Amino acid sequence: MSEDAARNWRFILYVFSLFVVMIYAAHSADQKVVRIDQLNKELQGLRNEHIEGRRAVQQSRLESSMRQTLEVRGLKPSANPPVKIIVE
Amino acid sequence: MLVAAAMLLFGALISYKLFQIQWVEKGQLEQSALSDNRKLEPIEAKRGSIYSADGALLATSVSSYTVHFDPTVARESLFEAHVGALTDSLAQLLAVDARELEKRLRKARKNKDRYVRIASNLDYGSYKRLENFPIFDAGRGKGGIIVDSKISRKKPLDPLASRLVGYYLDEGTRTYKVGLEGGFNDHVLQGDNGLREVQRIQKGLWKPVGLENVKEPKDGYDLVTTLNSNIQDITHSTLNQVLRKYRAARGLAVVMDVKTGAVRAMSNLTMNADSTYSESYNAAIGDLYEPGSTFKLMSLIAALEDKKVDTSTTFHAKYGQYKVYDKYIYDSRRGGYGPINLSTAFAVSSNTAFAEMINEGYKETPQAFVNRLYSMKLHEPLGLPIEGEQAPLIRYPGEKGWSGLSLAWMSHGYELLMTPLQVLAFYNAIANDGRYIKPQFVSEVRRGERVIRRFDTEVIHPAIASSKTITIAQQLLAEVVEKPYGTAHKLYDKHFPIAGKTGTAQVNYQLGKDKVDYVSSFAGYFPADNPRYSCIVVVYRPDKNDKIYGADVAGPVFKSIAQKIYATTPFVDAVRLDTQLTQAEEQVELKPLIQVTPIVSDQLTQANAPSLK
Repeated sequence: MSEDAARNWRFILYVFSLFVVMIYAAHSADQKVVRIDQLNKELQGLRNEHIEGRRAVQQSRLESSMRQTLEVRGLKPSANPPVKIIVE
Repeated sequence: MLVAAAMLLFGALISYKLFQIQWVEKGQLEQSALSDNRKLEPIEAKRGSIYSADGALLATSVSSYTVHFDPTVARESLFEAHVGALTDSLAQLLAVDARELEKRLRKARKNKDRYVRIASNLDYGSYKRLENFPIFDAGRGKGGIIVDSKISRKKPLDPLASRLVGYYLDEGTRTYKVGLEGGFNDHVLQGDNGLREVQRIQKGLWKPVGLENVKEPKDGYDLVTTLNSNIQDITHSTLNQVLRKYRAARGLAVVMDVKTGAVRAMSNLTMNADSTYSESYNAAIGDLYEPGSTFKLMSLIAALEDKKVDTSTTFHAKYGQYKVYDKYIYDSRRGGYGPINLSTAFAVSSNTAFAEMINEGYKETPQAFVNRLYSMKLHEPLGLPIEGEQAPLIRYPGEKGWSGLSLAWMSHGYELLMTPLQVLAFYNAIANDGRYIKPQFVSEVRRGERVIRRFDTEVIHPAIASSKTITIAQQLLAEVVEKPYGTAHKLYDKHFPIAGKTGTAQVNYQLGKDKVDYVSSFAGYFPADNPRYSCIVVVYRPDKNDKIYGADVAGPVFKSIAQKIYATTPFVDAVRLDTQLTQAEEQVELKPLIQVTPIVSDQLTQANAPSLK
């Protein structure tokens, strides 16, 4: 009977290892989902940061903001247009 | 025996229970399992962003964060050690009292209140800072910080063009569609939400089930507008300045590209209760007003086209008044101007001359006047992609409201209603040599870099009048500024020529002389010799005790905008360098041949180029 017993134990071990693999796979998938969620949040954060920065740049390059900042230094907008010279 | 019976009974009970669960309660249980553990979750589609023509971001979706605090989570040691520092930091960030806040948190901790609101609608930067505050930096599990984010719309260039960019709000029972966000919401900006099946794996955390989504989300498209952020900035700040100076109830300014109809700037400022101004109503598109003297251009064109007058016609209204039946029309200058010709009458904006022009010219057949106006499409709305445009009101003879006085009043812009944008579109047509084109707000619909749809210039009428008439009108518009007697002569600048018409219309005149208010306007284009931009400025109810005339209030805004556009558009000089090599000398001789060839027509006025010193 020890033959059967050994076979039974091997079978049990086989089934057990299947269980382990299955549990590991499911856990790994769940972990990935958590990670995706994390990355999404990070992405969202970075995008927001980018928009904040862009907003700051856009505001500061406006003539009205520049005029305010430079007035302190005694600079005023020119009444004449700049001349662009293209040399070919 | 007894044991066997007991086991049999036990077995029977189990089978019965199994049977019940499997067959009888199957429906209910399946439901609750599905609803507790699985659900169909919408996948939010990203809303498209709105850009200006020069690439600035006008509207986009961002996350805004709401932070709550569970004061019971932190351990006694952690809480006591850092609550002071936390409330100090919070006080600085949120502009609240630190000690009050500390009291609140302590009280909440004592009362086991697990959900204390700290701040809502924080932007990302503030949220990140807050995350690093003492106690909060320990996270949700150890510190008790609870963060929720939601998507909200942000306008990085606020308040510039804020009302034109607008917003879209769906409250279920009502949707609010304002500006471009509203007008281009359906099928463009608003995407299509997707659907997927999800299964609960942790409290608050769901995992998607299956390989594919039940329905894929379709993100919204981006919009590229015709607005130029620099011209918008100039327009907004100039207008704001003037409105504050004259304490006007409202003001607007619109700048259009003459050849294409692209709206480069649109500013609508209304006075708030605290005397500041905000973009709360798009009057340029939605406000019907009596245009007053700016309508004289339309009357002029009609009279010239119908050959009722020509440039040599003289007007004789005596003492500055013109009588129609038993009523008088007065010039703004007491005593009038004496006999004047057509161009002078336009330049000085004589009400009597125009009343005479239209009344005498059309009194036998008044419908001819109105038909001529209709033929120029003045009675039709522009057909804008934004909600809120009002249709003009130009009455037909015989309609309710028409009287024997109507011709005389309509000649100088009363008894009819138009929106400022409609008036501007007509002036633009004159600047554009008679080609009446539609004002355009959007140039492209895009997905990222890919252009999905392009919007071209739409022609309302290819030629509203004969070229002879247009040329005369253009000349007269230039003389309003050029001639020393022109109402807008103070706007004259030798560096760049502007053309246009002043308007000083009365409102509330039916309520009596002391209730009268004024609407000061100026409509025109620049440079007069080669029109590039057309612009209208309307200022409602400037301080009566201060200046009220179109040339004094609205005109300077126009000039300032024109001047700044002139000053920021580079004059381009292209230089070609040709070299000739001569042989047989020890040194190679280079004979440069320099030619000045303007290649790009970027410059506003060739003749008025600033000299290089």
